[in-house]
Amino acid sequence: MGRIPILLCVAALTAAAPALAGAADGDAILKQQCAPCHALSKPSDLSLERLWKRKGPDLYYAGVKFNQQWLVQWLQNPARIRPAGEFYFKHVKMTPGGDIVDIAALPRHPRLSKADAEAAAAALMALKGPDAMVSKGAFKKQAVPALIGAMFFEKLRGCAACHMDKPNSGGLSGPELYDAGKRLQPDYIYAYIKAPQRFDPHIWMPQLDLSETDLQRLANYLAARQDAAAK
Amino acid sequence: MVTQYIRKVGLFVLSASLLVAGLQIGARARADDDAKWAATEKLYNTYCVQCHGMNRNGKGINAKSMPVQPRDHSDPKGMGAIPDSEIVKAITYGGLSVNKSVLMPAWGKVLSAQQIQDLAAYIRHVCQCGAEAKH
Ligand code: HEC
Ligand code: HEC
Ligand code: HEC
Repeated sequence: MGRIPILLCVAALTAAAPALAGAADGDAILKQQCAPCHALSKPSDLSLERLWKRKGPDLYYAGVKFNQQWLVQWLQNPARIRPAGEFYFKHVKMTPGGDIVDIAALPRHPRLSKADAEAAAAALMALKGPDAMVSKGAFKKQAVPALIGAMFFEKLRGCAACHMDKPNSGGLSGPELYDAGKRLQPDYIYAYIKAPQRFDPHIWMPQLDLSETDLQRLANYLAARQDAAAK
Repeated sequence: MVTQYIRKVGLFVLSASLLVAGLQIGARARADDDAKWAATEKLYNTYCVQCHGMNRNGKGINAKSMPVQPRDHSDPKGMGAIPDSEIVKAITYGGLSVNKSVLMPAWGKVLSAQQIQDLAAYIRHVCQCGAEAKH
């Protein structure tokens, strides 16, 4: 007898707050579970000190960076993107043969349920960052033969010193790019190569003197990378 | 006799305090030195260690997969042979600008001219070689 009012009470509460009972609330997930490591709005402090202290990549412009479908999948099953983590300097182990990545020191990324991943991905896609961070339509789709693209990326422009454009092939201090086409929006790829410091004034990717032809060639090569991780 | 004794003690005290002061100056000079390099060391750790390594010996985490070995900044012989102007040019405009590998990137759009000067001096400090004295 005493239980019935409580049940009624719960039923009334859930009816009054459908957001809690039904679809997960993406914004709430971001604020509660992600904000400790990720900036969800543009930080007022963009110093080198801040970059050293941040625990994860900035997500305040996630909506102009990621493909939503990739987000939904990755958040359920997160795999390593930066082979040396965030940021590389904190995960270096010195050995007599030279520096290696201290894999054991890399934390595992939190994992979300399907419903939470969908809600969080939708909320992330709404974070567009300041205007003009990524200009829409700057990327011009063209067919770049993979061999030509790889030659520029690996040999002529030196990108492979820091990035893998094929699984297990390339440098370790930048994010892997062999599935860049699945993960990233083409306009973002173009904008990032053109001016990495627009996304963080102190990020440790150089801003190189690349012609428009070069930028389009490299961006098109990367936007076509769809390899699966070699894990 | 007494005055002589007092003079001796006085000299001893004087020289002892000079010695202490000297030690303090030495320690302070070293601390100033550390402070002087701290900001530049942080730049090196952020931008250069990925290739040139924690030990500044060209063996960073990226080096294994690179066809050209990053320069060993701890090697007095190799570094001593490179003039200051070339070091500054290589950091500012990249390896290609000094007829070296493209794998040494250009940092002139990320770091200020002053920061690059500081890095060049820091590299001299690391190798204990070359033109540091000639500045
Ligand atoms: C303990 C800190 C931490 C928490 C909490 C955390 N993350 Fe992350 N996140 C990281 C780190 C570190 C990386 C970089 C991983 C890599 O590159 O391999 C990352 C990467 C990501 C990426 C890819 C970013 C990029 O630029 O490649 C996304 C998207 C992401 N996290 C979303 C989330 C969401 C959504 C949540 C909350 C449910 C969350 N993270 C919670 C630390 C965290
Ligand atoms: C010295 C190392 C280095 C070199 C050389 C380098 N990058 Fe990067 N790159 C990075 C780092 C570091 C990041 C961003 C890491 C972060 O935000 O956590 C990055 C980010 C990127 C991104 C965005 C990826 C993402 O997940 O946000 C693209 C695209 C990219 N680089 C392409 C290139 C291309 C093309 C070249 C050659 C022209 C190049 N990079 C050369 C270090 C480098
Ligand atoms: C992407 C990897 C990479 C990064 C990051 C990098 N270097 Fe280098 N660096 C190289 C390589 C490779 C060489 C050797 C080039 C050669 O011998 O052809 C080199 C050579 C040099 C040289 C010697 C140039 C000469 O004339 O022989 C200097 C000086 C130098 N680097 C300074 C720096 C400084 C300072 C930084 C950080 C601001 C830095 N490098 C970051 C790869 C890198």
